[in-house]
Amino acid sequence: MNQVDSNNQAEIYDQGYRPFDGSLASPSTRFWPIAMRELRQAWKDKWFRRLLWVAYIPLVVYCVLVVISARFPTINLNMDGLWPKFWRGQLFLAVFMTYFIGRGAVGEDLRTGALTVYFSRPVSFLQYLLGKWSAVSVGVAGVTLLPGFVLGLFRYLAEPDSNMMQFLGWLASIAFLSGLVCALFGLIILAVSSLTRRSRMAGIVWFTMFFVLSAAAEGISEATGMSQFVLMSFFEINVKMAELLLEGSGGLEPGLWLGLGHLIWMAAGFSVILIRLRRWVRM
Amino acid sequence: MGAHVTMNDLTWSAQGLAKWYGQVIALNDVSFEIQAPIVGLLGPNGAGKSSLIRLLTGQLRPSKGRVSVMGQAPFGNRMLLARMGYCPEHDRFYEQLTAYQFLEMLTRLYGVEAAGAARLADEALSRLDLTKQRDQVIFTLSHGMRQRLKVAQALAHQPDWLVLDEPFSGMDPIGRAKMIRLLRQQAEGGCRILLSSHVLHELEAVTSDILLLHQGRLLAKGMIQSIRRLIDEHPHRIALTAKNPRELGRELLKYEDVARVEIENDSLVVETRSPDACYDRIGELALAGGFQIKSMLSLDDNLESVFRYLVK
Repeated sequence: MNQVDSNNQAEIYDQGYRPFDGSLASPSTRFWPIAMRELRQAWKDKWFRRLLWVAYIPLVVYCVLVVISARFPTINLNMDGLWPKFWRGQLFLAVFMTYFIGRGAVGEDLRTGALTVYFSRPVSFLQYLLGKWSAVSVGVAGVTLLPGFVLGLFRYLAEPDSNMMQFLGWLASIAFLSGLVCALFGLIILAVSSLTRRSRMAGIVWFTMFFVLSAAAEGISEATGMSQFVLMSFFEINVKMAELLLEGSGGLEPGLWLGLGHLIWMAAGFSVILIRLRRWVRM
Repeated sequence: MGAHVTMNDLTWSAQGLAKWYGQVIALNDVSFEIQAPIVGLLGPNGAGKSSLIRLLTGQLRPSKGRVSVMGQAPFGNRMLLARMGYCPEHDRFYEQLTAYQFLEMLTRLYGVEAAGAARLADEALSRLDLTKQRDQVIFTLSHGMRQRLKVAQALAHQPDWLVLDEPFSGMDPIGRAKMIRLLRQQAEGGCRILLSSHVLHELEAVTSDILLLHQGRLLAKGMIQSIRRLIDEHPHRIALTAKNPRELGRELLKYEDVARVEIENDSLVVETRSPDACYDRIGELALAGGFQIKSMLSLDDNLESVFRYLVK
C-alpha cells in the first residue's frame, strides 16, 4: 500500500507486485509491435531515408511525361509500355527497400538471442513471422503500391481518353502486383536472413541472387526461346506479370506459369524459414 | 495479469523431464515439485539450468517427461505465458532502441494495448531506477543498467510468475541490494519467482529454497541449510595464515573433530568434522594471541564444494 503523509505531502510508493488490470489488445494485432520495431530500425539508417526520396523521383518524371503527352500532343512522346517500364523501375527500388528492412530481420534475432524473448511471450511463430514480413511489405508497398496508385490517378486525370473503368483496372492490377511483390520479396529476404546471423552476409546473398538469377533467367530464356526460364528469377517473374496485367501482353498460359513461379518461390522461402526456425514453431 | 496465483497449486514441477539436442543430453530424468515464493536454481555451466528455464518458459518442448507451471504445460500455452515474465541471460539485442521503446515494445507483445504499455513501461523504468535513462539508447547503457532493463522488461506487465536467468550478473553491490529488495517485494505481493545463479550467497540473500542441477540431473532440492548440513557431514576445510603455523596445527590436532592439518610456509589448512566448533576455537586462539593468526578463510563455503561433496 502507498503511504502518504498529508503534512509533508510526501509519499512512499509501493513497488511490490500488483496484478495487471488494464485492457488487452486482440492477439491478432500482436505482430504489429514486431513490425514497428523493424521499421523503426530501418528508419535510423540514413540510406534508407534517402532511398525513400529517390523512390519517388521516377513517379515525378512519369507524371511530367504524362502531362506533356496529354497537353502537348505535337511533342511526339512514345508512351507505349509506360506501365511495365515504370513498374520495372519501382521493382528495382523495391529490391533495395527489401534489403534495408529485411537483411537482418531474422538473422539478428538469431545472433542476439532475441527469439528467446519473443517466444517466452504469448507470441506464436506465425505472429512473429507476420510481424517481420509486414515490416518488409510496408516498405515494398511504399515504393510500389503508393507510387503506382498516384501514377494511375495522374493518368486518369491528365489523359483525355482514359475512363473510370480503365482507372479502376489499373488500381486493381497495381494492388495485385504489389501484393505479389510484397509476398515474394518478403518471404525470400526473411529466408535469406534466417540462413545467416550476419546482416551484411544476408545482404550480399540477396543482391547476388537478384543479379545472377535475373541475368541467367533472361539469358537462358532468350537463348532457348523458352519463356518459362524467367521463373528462375524472383525479379523477372514480377516484371513479366506486370507486362501481362498492365499491358495485356501474353495470355492465360503465361499467366499460369508466372503464378506457379510465384507460388514455388514463396513456398521455397517459407520452407527455409520453417526449417531454420523449426525449434520455435508452435501454435 | 488475469487470475491470481492459487497457493494450493504446486508452482513449478517436472516429472521424468528430459531434454536433448541431437546427441547432447541437457537434462536427464529430472523430477521435482516445488512451491515457494522464490526458488533458486543453482548449477555450474552446462548443468542444464538454461534448458530447464527455457522449458519452464515455454521456449522448448520436453524431449521426454513433463514440465509444468501451476499444473499447466508452458509450451505453446499462451494464457500461461501471458502471465509470466522472463529475463534472459543475454542482453545484446535491439541496442538501437531507447530503454523506453524497448520496454514498450516488449510489453505490447504480452497483448497490452499501446496506452497501457506506455504506462507500464514508465512504471517499470521507475521501479528499476532507470527513469533518467528513459530516452537513452540501450547501446550507451552500462552493463548494470542493461541488466536492470532486462529485469524491467520481465516485470513491466506485472506477471504472476517471474523467471530470471542470472539477474545479478554485472550489477554493483548497491544494484544487487536494490534488486534483492525488489524481488522480495514482488514475492511478498504474491508473485512467484524462479531465479538462476552460479553464486550461492546471492541466492541465499533472497531465498532458502533451491534446486541444484549438475550435469543435467537434479542433484539436490530443498532448503539451503539442509544442503549445508550435508556439507558439514564431510570434513570442512579452513585455511589459516599464522606466524607459528606448526604450533597452531599441533594445538588444533588435540581436538577430536580435527581430522587433518596440512602446513605450507606460514599457512595451514585444517579439516574438521565440526566447523562451527572449530571456528569458535580458532576465534578463541586468535584472541589469546599466542599464535598470531593473520587470516582465516573457509574453503568450502561455495557452490563448488557443495557439488564436490554431493557428487561423491
